[in-house]
Amino acid sequence: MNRYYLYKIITFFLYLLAQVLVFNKMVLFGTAHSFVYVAFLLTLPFELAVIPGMFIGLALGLGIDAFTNTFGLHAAASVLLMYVRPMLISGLAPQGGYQPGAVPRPGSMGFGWFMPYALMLIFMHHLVVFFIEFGGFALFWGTLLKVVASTGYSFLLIVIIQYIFFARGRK
Amino acid sequence: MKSLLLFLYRFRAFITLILLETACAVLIIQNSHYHRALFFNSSNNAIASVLVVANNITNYFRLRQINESLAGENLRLKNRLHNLARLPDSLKYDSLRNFNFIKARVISNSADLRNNLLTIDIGRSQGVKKDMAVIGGGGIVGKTRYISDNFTVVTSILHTESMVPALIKGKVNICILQWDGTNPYYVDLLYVPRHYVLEVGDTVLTSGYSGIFPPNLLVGRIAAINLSEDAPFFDIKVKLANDFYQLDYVEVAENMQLPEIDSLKNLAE
Repeated sequence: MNRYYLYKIITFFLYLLAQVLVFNKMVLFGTAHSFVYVAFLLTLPFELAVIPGMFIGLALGLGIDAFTNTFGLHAAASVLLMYVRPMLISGLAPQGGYQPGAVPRPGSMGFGWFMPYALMLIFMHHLVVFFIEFGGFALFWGTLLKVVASTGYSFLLIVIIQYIFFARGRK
Repeated sequence: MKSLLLFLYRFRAFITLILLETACAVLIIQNSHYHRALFFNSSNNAIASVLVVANNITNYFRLRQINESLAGENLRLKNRLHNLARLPDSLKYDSLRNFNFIKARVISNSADLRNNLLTIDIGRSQGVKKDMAVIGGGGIVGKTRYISDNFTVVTSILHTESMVPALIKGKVNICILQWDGTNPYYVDLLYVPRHYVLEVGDTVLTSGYSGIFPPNLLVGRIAAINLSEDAPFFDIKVKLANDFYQLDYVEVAENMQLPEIDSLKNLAE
């Protein structure tokens, strides 16, 4: 169990560094941003309770914010994501509930389960990020385009990373 | 009492959500409205050190490009110096003489957000103070915002709060530059009254009225002019002289006379 926590802490920092040093710079056409760090929150175990989950989201979000000088922006979106996540998980539960040992990764639950799960949460997260960052609803469609393009882009990168590094649905 | 506790317990997740989101909202508002960094930002030593290491690696692959842009700048300055040397003594006037420049390297930068900030590798110990001008890359870059001992966060021109007093060379003396938050190559030029005759390609320079930016620095050229039927001012798009995606080295400009100007202004008020 301790090894598991250590492993999670290391991946936490890997996602944080990868996001601020690599993915933040990979912006397509000035429109599609990739917030791949969300994958860390998406793939936390099913059993994680909502309140500790929100604090993990807060910590990761504040970490990103510290590097990009967007205080509270990613933190707010990540906390909301971690609040909604358990509801979505129970909403998407297969008949008979989740198998013991299953994790919310495409390698474990299958792509058909992972796609709606990830897309909904990523979309909500990006919606919050871009509209707070923009500071209002002027240029609504422009911002929405950014949200939709970024959701697709982030999702694509997250799925690729999942299949490369976590192909066997490892915890 | 018991039912209250039960109620709180039942909605503990929701209450935690509200508390955490309120904390985030306070952070966001503090940052955007009061220009105060409550906690850490990228001028923090630990965070900036990570950025420096990453920047050292990425810069290595761009050395050729960086060299070329610096050589280009050198050439422009040498040309100018040569022309200045040919002027008779009585006409010699160096508009930048009140300013002291400090060299800096950009260690983190963005141009794709609505409010963009940069981090540079000099800080208080190198003499940086709040609200100093940052220039470079053939144009203007921004204004210092958060300063730590060795690093500084700069409010980019590509930030919706940035306003720089500007002029159109030979035509308009008072107008304001502001970014509308969409295209990082263009900024808006505000408050140019409709009676002026303007042309696409007119040069836009800093006016230096704020006392922050040195006067007569190149900002860019007018790319598009629009005038609606009943508007008192033109809608002008200015193509920026520098490319914010390619910023490597910048200079921080300190106005040596700013304390004197400020104390005079205080007297006048």
